[in-house]
Amino acid sequence: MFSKGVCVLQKKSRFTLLDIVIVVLLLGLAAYIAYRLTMKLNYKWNWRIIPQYLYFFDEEKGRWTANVLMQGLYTTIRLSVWATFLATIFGTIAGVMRTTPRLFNRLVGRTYVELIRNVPPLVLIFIFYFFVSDQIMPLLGVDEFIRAQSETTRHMVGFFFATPAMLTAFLSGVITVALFQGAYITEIIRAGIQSINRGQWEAGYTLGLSWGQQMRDVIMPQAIKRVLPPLANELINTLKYSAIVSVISIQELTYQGMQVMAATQVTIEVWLTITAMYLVLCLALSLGVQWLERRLARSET
Amino acid sequence: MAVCGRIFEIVSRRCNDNQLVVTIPNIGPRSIQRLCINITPLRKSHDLRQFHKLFLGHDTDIEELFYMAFKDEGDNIIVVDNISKTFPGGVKALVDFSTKIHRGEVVVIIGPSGSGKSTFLRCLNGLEEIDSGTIEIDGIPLDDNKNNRLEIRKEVGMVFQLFNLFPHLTVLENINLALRRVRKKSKEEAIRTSMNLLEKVGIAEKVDNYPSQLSGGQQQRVAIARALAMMPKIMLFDEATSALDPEMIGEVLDVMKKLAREGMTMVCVTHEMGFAREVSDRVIFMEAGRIVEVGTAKHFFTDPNEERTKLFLSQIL
Repeated sequence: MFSKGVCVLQKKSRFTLLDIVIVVLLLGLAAYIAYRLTMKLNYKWNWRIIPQYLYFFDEEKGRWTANVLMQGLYTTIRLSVWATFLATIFGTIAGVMRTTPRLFNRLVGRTYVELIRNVPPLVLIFIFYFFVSDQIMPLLGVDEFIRAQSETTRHMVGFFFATPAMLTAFLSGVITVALFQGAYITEIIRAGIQSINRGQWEAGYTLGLSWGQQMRDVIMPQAIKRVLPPLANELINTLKYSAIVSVISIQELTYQGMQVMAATQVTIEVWLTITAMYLVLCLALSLGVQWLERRLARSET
Repeated sequence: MAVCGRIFEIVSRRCNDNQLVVTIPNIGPRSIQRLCINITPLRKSHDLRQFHKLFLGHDTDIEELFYMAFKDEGDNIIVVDNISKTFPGGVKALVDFSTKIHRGEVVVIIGPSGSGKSTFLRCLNGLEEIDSGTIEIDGIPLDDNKNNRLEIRKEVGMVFQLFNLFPHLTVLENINLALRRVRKKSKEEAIRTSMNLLEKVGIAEKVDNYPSQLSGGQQQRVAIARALAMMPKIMLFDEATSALDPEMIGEVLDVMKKLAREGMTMVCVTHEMGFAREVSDRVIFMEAGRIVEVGTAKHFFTDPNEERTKLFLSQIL
């Protein structure tokens, strides 16, 4: 309402002398390192080996097929999509709970956040892997359920989740990443809700809106818009954190990277390739969020 | 009926006492209109004309008359009995505060800042919890019962100092929201109602704008329309013009005056003494959570009883 006159600092578009000096120094440093790497390093670069691990020509089928690295990338994407989806749901529910008037709800939300936030993700992964994946999933009969399905259903599951053999590990990976990312999203959502002026609640209250209606129609739309940048940050983090599930043998990008490295010994090339793959994914996400932010901003002013 | 009878009773008693004919020298269109609205039996018969004939041209103040008639009897829509409110930290906002407000009455609450005016207003619809005492709105007690509270929230509209419009919704959506969600109106019906209200407050051309694109005065008028959309029986105005630039105060006050003329029950916390003088039936002067003085606007601005009132008025006028 009163943010109309927010002061916008004039951006200086010209470089100062200091900027140029800094850039020159950095370039010099980079050149020096590159020189040392190429001339002095006792390392045989072997970039030609990489492409075949991305795609290879399948003689049997007679067409180009994704190899381990690309398969890893797909798994990473599948994992991140599901984890992000679940984390957003967990985070939103717990975040809203943390702002309800009811003490019980607030306690539940708080417990969730504190429990997850104060345990290393790696430890959580192991708990989930050895407990959920080994014990709970068989109890629920997920494996048998999948095996009992038709060929097409299994293909679908394989496309959207993971192959039946990997399914339980995949699911526990997804749940773990979703749980701890959910805890961070909880805090973001809570902050967003609490940042909304009390007057908005009061206006909704005097109009006779119920708590749920106030939340859905008045508070959340404003809160989400406000927390979109940190939320986007968390979504990108989810993608990055998905690497951690490589420790429970989910064949995502990082895991496949380690496999390829072990097989070929071309360490730096493999990891640089993987870096580039992560970078492309995260950058795309980041740009997508920027676009969304601009769109949302347009609706207000 | 009771009010009507009581007015006649007072009038006739005065006539007999003083051996003179009672009149209403300053009876304006507003007073007549309020007569019509407040006293249904009068409106329906030709008594009203007789009433006017009887009083016109003589020297009893009809405002005073109404004030006395309403004072302790009548159709009370707000009954506040002995409420107290202490904020955490020990600030006493309201101390044993009691008052009754009649249907169709316009009450203006004035007083120095921190005197509990806004708190009183916010207690009336449950925005603030009272520590003790009772509040009854149109026969419904404001208690812990959720349904009672909801009913009161629906019947009591409120206009805030800082408008509190929903910034992510257009003007039309701001007004429609409660109509759709609370009153469960169809989309077409809600839009029709909203458009009528926007017409009334004079900003129908801004329907599709967002609040940030409007001036303060326009925003406040939208806020009034939004509250009116619920068809409330009572409207609360919490310093509705205090945050506005001087040139915009008039347009908001005009809407409020229009509303008063239509017979809306209004409780206004305001610093606009002109408004108080022009439209209020009763002025309540508060200090430190207590009522210092109550009376008609005329009484207040010409001949207040209390020293404290005089001092306050001399400071602000």
